[in-house]
Amino acid sequence: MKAPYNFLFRFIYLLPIFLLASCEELISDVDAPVSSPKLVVNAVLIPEAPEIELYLYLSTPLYTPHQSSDLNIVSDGTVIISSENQQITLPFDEASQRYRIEAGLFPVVAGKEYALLITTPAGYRAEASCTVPADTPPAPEVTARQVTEEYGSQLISYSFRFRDISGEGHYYATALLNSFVDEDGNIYPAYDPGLDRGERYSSDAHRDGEYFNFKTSSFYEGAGQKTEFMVWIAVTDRNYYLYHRSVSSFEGEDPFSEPVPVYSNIKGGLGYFGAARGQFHILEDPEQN
Amino acid sequence: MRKIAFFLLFAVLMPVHELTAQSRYSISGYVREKGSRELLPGVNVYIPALRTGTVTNNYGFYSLTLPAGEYSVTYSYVGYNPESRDFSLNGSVLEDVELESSIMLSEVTISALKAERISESNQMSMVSLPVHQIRNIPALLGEKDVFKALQLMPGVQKGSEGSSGLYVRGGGPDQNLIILDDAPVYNASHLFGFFSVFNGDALKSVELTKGGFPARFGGRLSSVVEMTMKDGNKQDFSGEAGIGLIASRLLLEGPIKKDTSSFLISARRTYIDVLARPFMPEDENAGYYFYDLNAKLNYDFGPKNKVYLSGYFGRDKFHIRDEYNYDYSKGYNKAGLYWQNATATLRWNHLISNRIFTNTSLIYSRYNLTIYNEEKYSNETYTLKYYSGIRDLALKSDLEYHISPNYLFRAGILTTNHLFTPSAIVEKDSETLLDFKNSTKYNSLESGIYIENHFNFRHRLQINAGIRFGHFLAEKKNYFSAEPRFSANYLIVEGLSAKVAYAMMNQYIHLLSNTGIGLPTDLWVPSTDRVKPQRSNQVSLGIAKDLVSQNLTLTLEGYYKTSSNILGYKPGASFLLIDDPSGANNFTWQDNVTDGSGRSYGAEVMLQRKSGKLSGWIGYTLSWTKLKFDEINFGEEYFARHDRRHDLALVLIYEASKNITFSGTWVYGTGNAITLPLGEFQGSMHDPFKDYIESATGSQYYWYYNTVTDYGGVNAFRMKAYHRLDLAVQFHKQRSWFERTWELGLYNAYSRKNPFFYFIESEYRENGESISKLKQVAIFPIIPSVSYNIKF
Repeated sequence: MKAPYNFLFRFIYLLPIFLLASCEELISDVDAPVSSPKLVVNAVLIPEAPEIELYLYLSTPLYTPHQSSDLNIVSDGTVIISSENQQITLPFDEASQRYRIEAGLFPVVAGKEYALLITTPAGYRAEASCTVPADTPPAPEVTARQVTEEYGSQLISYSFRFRDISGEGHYYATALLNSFVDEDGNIYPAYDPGLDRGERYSSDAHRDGEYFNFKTSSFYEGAGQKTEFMVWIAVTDRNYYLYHRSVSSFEGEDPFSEPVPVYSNIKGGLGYFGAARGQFHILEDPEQN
Repeated sequence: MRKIAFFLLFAVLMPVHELTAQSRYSISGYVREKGSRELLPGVNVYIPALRTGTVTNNYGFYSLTLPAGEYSVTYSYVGYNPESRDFSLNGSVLEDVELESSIMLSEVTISALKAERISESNQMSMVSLPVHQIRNIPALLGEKDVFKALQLMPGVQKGSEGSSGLYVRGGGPDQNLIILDDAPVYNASHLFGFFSVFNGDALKSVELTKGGFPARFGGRLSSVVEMTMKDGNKQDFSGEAGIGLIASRLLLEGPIKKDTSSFLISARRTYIDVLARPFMPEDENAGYYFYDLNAKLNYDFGPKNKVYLSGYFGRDKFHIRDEYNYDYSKGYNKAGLYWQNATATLRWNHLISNRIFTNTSLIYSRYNLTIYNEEKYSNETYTLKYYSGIRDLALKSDLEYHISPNYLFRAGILTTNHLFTPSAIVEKDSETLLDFKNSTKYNSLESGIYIENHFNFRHRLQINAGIRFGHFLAEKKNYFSAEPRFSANYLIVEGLSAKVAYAMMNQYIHLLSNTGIGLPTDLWVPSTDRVKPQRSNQVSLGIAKDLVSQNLTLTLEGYYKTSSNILGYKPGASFLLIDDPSGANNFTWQDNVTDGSGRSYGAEVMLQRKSGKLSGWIGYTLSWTKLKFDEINFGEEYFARHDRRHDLALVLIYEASKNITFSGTWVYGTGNAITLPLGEFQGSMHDPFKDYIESATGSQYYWYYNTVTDYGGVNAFRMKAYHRLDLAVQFHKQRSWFERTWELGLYNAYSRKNPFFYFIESEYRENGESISKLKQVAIFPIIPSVSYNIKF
């Protein structure tokens, strides 16, 4: 019975050649999920701030045709902030391209809850709420001022810390600003020098009652120049903390990094509606105090 | 605490009760394969009249303790002809038995003995993979792979296309304890996970336990893959060789002293780099290779003592070397990366008596990855070397006390010194006089002690109850654990049983994996005071049915597993841990990880035939795997990447004749869950100095923002389903002094474009619009293969 096996043999040897001929491109299209633009809200309520402001724009969906633009501002929205039996509508300000009112028209009070409702003629709707922290933000304690000589100038950095408010569930934000002061005492804000140690957005999870330690990056102070170093320390709500932490962790270019979903407490949209209580402090040399 | 005390009391009192029973005698010995005298584990040793028996251990040893009397004992094992022995027992007897392989006979004998029935086995959630079946399953490029075969079992999934990683009942690849001759293997992948490091030629047995873990196993949450190397033919010199598309193999074994001592050596190497070298430019040299080497020696010092020395060495290496001439000066640039495993085990089997068998092992295991770059130009040299790895030194001792056919007592201890090197960097530059070294090392000690009791009550109910105590010490931090283990099998009627099992497992060492696809960049790290041990609790329930007349077994199992303290990378964390090596002082891996919990549950069904003209199995799994991390997905539960709702595998092997074997597999799986970008928006950050700057400068504040991605949810999108058909045919022919086999294979026979990964491509149009398109890359279309193998 050789003949059938011969046929089978030949078929088996030839089959791969025909199948190889059917090799196609290995890159192909995939049905992407349908997505549409979403409302993006940026707003933070701060009792100490001179005004309440809110930024409103649209996100860009990836898989439908869209125009590229820097910021797709929504100017025709109805933005209402309410608290208990009070509410106010924020008008759109063309000059600054944001919705804003003077703080005196609708005081933001520590410990109170506020709700946000946004609607637009195009049919978008977004809602959110936040509670302004009741605690007073801690004051920083400067622990050291380091000075290094380099190329005729001085490199200066500060170490400072603050203590966590006792009790769980506290979130903090720290911001820095370098300013130069001329002979006449005029102040020229310059830049954020950055932190060599410490996190800008931190929580007291597993660290209740502990110190949060920071060290600024070094900045130049030229001969005859005076530098003023300002720090803003705030107690924030969870929404503020999670949003800013996720945006600052975002590393879009690194193919080896884990994706960072950006936090949002906006129901029906993106972005955040948060709250904070902050205070400004000028850091001074501890040895001169 | 009460439950632990109960287990202890039970474990201690039972041996005492048994010892005070009437005088008994033992029938004990070793079961070997006829011809090679290879020791056979898992052989059923059964007394039909008493409906009781035992199973040979990993070293082929068995012991039955019985009252004086007349007995007929049957020895049976899948793929071998059964043997019977009659005994007039009035004193202990040492009886070694040899079984003849049924593959070697002209007619295949199918055994349907009761002793082989899955319904009568106490162990549930365990898969024993016949090594000869692995050789018949079609494989990628013809390279038979143990792990690829295990991935065809229900409850076991692969990660991505081509990956050899095992995801067992929702657990990741780091949660599998992979043991080769008692030595753990830390990176079981060649070529970035496309092949495993295990050469099937050198293996005798492969067992995967995915639940109901006996107390002798510990240290990982999800599975134990226990592989035993062959000992080597003690009668004659023999060997196997094979040439495939990407690698060649050679195995040699034979006696050093007939019937007493033997050796085995097996090697495999790719040769693409050798073949390509003549075609490369003279001043360039680049390539990739991997090799495996398995070696074993053993010596019988009489019936009571046997010694084994076995080892595994394997390496993958990418390398490139470039030479150049500038300004009449010569130089070169060489770079590459390599990763390697090395294991060595020295074992001593000792029979204290006919009933008490002990094994003591001294174990060494090492895995490391090295990335290097060296540049030399004129007289200046720059070198950068990055190293990470893990090294184990362990001592293990196990005891088996065969008290009676109805009671087996086991106890043992294992202590391991782990030396972790998550990173070590050396950077030198002779031009700038840079000489930088930094390394992070962790030394730790992991120990476990266990007792295990296996009871058989009137042949109806079998129970395995035990407890394992664990200890881990690192950085002056101690962790202790007590892990109860329990499994039971109840024979409802002949051929049908119900099973239940519970196991608590702890895992003290962790694998940080950026992608989960077995990259050599994955890091093994210890538990510390910040990073706690992982823990799981698993309950399994099942039914097993033997369909004797059809030579089939049917199993149905459900499981529910919870895990805590499992590790994951924080959002935004990257393997590119540091851009500047000199900044390594400021970095610790503990800052990049976060811990969470997981739960997985599902059901598995398998219909299997292990022997016969037509053999194989069909397995289906329905499962869910969910994770919850405070720092990922904002604390909301989400699906694991490897969550796979449906997983189906059909494997068929048909021996058309003595000379031709056809085989085929078809697999189907739900797609991986991935985090897919849906849109983009400007993520602006609150700047509290905005008003201060505006009032100080008099100009409008300019907002800075990041363009960030709207992902929807973590792992909220499903990739396309995966399915694939593989076919193979083998032509065997017996020649004068060897048997040769041609194998023709077709991987992905209908050329399904299974996704390997997705990416997004942007398209820009003339009207100023842009659109993103989601695309997938498939890496394996239909791939034919051919290989030639000989056995002599």
